[in-house]
Amino acid sequence: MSQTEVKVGVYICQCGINIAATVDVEVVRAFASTLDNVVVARHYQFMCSEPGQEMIKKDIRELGLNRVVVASCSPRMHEVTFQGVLADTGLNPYYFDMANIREHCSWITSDSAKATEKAKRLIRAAVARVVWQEPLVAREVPVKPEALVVGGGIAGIQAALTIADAGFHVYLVEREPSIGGRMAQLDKTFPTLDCSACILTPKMVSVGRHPNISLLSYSEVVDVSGYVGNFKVKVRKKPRYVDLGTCNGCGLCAESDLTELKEAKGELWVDRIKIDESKCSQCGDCVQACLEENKENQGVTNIAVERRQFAELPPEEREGNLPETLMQQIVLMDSKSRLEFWQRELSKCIKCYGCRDVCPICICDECELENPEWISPGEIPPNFPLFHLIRAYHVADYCIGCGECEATCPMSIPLRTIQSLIHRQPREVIFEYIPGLDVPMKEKLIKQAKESPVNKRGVRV
Amino acid sequence: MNYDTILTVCPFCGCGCQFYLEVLNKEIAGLIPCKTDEISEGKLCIKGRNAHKFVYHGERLKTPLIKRNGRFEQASWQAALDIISQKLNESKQRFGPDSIAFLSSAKCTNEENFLLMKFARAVLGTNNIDNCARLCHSPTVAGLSSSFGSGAMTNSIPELENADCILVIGSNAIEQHPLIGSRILEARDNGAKLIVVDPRRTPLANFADVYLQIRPGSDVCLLNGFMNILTTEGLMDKEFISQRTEGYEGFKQKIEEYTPDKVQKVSGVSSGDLQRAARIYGEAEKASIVYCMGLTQHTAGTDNVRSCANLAMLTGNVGRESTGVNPLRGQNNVQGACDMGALPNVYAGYQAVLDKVAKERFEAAWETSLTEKPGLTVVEMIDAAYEGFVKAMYIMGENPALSDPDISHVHEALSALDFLVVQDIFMSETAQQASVVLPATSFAEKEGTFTATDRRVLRLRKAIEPLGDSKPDWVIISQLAQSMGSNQFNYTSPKEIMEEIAKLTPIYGGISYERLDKGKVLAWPCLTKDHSGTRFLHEEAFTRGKGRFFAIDFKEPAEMPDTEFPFTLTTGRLMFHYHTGTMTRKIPSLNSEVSAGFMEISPQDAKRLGVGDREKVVVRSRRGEIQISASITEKVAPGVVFIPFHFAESAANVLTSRTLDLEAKIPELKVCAVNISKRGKP
Repeated sequence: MSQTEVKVGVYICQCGINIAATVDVEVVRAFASTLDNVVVARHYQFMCSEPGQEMIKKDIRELGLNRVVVASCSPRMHEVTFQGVLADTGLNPYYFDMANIREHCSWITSDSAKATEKAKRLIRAAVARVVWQEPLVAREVPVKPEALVVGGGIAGIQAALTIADAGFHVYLVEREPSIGGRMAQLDKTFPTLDCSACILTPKMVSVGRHPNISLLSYSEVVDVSGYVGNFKVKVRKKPRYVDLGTCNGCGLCAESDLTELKEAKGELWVDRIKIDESKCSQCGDCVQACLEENKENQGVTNIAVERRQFAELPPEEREGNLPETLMQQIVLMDSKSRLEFWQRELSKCIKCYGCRDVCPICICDECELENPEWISPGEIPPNFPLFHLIRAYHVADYCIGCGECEATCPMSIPLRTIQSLIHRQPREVIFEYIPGLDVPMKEKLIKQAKESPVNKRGVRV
Repeated sequence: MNYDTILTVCPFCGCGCQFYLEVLNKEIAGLIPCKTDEISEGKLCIKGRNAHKFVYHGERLKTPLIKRNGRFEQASWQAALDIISQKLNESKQRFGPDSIAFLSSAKCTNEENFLLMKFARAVLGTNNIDNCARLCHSPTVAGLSSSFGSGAMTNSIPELENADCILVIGSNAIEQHPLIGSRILEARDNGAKLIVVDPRRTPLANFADVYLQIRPGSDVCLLNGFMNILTTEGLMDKEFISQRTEGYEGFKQKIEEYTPDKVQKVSGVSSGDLQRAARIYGEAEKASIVYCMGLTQHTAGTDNVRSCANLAMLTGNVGRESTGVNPLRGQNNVQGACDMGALPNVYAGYQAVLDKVAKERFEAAWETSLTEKPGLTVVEMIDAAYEGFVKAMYIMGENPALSDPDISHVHEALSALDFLVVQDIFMSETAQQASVVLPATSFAEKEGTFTATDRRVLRLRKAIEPLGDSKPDWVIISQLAQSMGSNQFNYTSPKEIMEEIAKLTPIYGGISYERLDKGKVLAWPCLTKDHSGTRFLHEEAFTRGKGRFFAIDFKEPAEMPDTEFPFTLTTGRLMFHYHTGTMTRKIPSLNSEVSAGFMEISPQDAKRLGVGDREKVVVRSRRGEIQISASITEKVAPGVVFIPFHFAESAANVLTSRTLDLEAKIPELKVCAVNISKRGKP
């Protein structure tokens, strides 16, 4: 639309004395009538009143206005009112703009001169903008009447239940293995000292059983796109290694020789158990326990299941059948082939020190690995098994199993498995030696180390 | 506090591992492996992990130096560039353009190599430009170009993992290309069979299904014997041979002479082992050949490479994934230096200087006339300097005074020059002989691209400002060219140089900083901006059309052991050091691993000579002698000794011979005859 055809009407509201007491409406009106494209400018006591609205309608009809600016209160109060005025006269309601000279102007100062000046500016801006506004048409878009609730604490649970009871489908996403959140960790609630679990648990059960709620526990929201009514949400389900369909919550797996599950025993709900893959040493004990309880349908579905089934196969059928994990292979080896295995793996080492450098708990100032008394410099592979043994035992007590050592090893030596093995076997089983307690043995070891061929050879010169 | 991580490329070997430099308040604070890099996957070798540690070394050159009365004096850039342009002009006018020779650097970026080659050709009018590829993979360029039509690694590094058989010849991949060595072991864990051919029992040999301890220099004989077995047992790919190759008949007649028994006599490899290896290779669905210096640094280097090509074609192991003939390039950008035409006979992208069309294209682009007479190669330049034909040399980031064979001769040749410019980051053995030394910047201080061994073009990114008064090589060359009156060097960034490269070099046509910065992995040939690069070559047809079989006769190395010099010396590198050690010997954590040279000798020989472990011995060849401590090990066979060439104080290259492969002009660094005596005895 070319600007020559634009006819703007400006209406300044006095709002009783709300505006008129501070802003000199007549000065503002006179100013407005000088602006480009403005055909008429008026002020009135209450623009939102019936007579006020009529005034605008009359002007639209008689003067052929095609744009309207009302300078009054916040658009949150009356934008809809005035857009209705335009619509009543057949004008597109979006050919309207509102200048807020009350909340943004008259109410916030007693300085009349400044307020009047600001009102002029706001109106000038509104007039300038309304010229460029384009007609918009509202239309209907189909929406999905479903809701997503992120977080399954008491607030999320209640929100999900309320929406679901109203007849809408709800997806409840919880990052932990179970919903419940903080409230599940409390005993009493303030201020009534009600039993916390008595409030929470019936709601948790309702969520689990509600036909309108899809519970996505041990899951995280990865990505949200789209718009109101048509969101697309990507949720990552983390692996539990437990089949919730068959798990009967007996908790026997948690009693097997798995420290990370022991922590869960008794204190947390065992029917929502999971295997922490970052700590699992794949020993298979949990599966064994599960099989003993549930002969037909065991619930633990981690890789260890395969090991259990695999171990039952006759040797001739093993080959090319189920894959063995490295940990399983090592555990099944006799000591000679285990030594050979490590000798072969560790002879890949190119002594980059990467395993040491990335280790988050390796903190010594001087590294024993660079001590020529233990490790001869410049030799590849480094002395077997001393190099890797020193490293493994330096971090064994504190190793958090992050696996960075293995990830950064250019030769892909299974360094984390060494740590898993150490964790699995008490050190006195490995060495029959308890550091700090066995003094004569300590002296013997030191003497042995000093006389070792490594030490005798010394540094290359 | 200002902290940033800059993704850049390792400056050592040709694997092309990317890592992040940690920059804290404009200084390098550390180095983090990059887990999303497809080659390194967050893994690095010891050199890579310590790559940033030489950057701030106290011996970094920071101002230009001019030698006056035998001593270096600090000078301004203006003074240094003035004297260089005056001397180069003088030499060009008095003795002709070919009296000047250039050595470009496999350590510098593609852009810098392109500029030096442009400077030599367009400003000075000579094709006397070469780089250290001459000393490593010139037989690859010559050999594979004539067999396949393209002188580069046929396949990419990650493909190695899926091979069924990997034949490694003369490559100590675990130590020298650790991230490729790692992939070879990975392949082996996946069930691939590994065959290692090496005179020295390298770490990789310990993992081999078949290890063939070959007598140094008998590779052609062994490979011909290998192929003899394959044809006798019918393990060749007849369809591939008839449809995609030529010259098979003559070749077949030739290899019939090489029976396993004959091979056993010549190479010392038992015919049983040879047969076992040949069957493994021949029966594999996807067999890959990996080779390196052990194959190329011979007078028969080109023949060796062509034999590998013959073997791959015979079994149809080219042009498919996880197969091919894969030379491992030693330097981070030796591939790029060759691609950019820092070679005496080709322009960028292997366009021959003899090719009129190519010459005219470059003449038009650079608005000058170019000479079509091919230039001198590295060793020829040194010889020409010795004889007085080359009067001035310009050496960018190379150290021939330690890396070239027969270095006493190199020293004499360099001192015979009228004028020598060396552009380097440290005062190398070569720089000490220079007339003018220009301080360049390390990899951390400049922008550019490197091309890894499998033709992948990678972005080098600037992490810190140049130290002191040093300047990136591309700035130095541009300014020098401008001060010599050229208007063709008005670049404001390496990006502009790459645009020019892409315009003039068809195989780099689709390479641009925009694409690389978006994280695209582009391996040449990458012809257009929407071409996604080429992971393996020769898929539908060979670059030259049909693959060509060469009938190759076995020739003994130029210098064989005799009664006076009864041992065969072979040279090589160590895990912890890099080439002439200019960088790695300045990194404490590397130098503390190995700080001095040594000679590996077999227990039998040591016993016979009465030499103890770590005892100092004198090693002599027809060219010189060095003192070095002996290291008794079963890695080497009796009659063979091994010396790493990193260490100037016991430099293996005092002993080596400069006899050349006639085609590729590579010296025979891997074989020479020496004798060994205890110290104080003749």
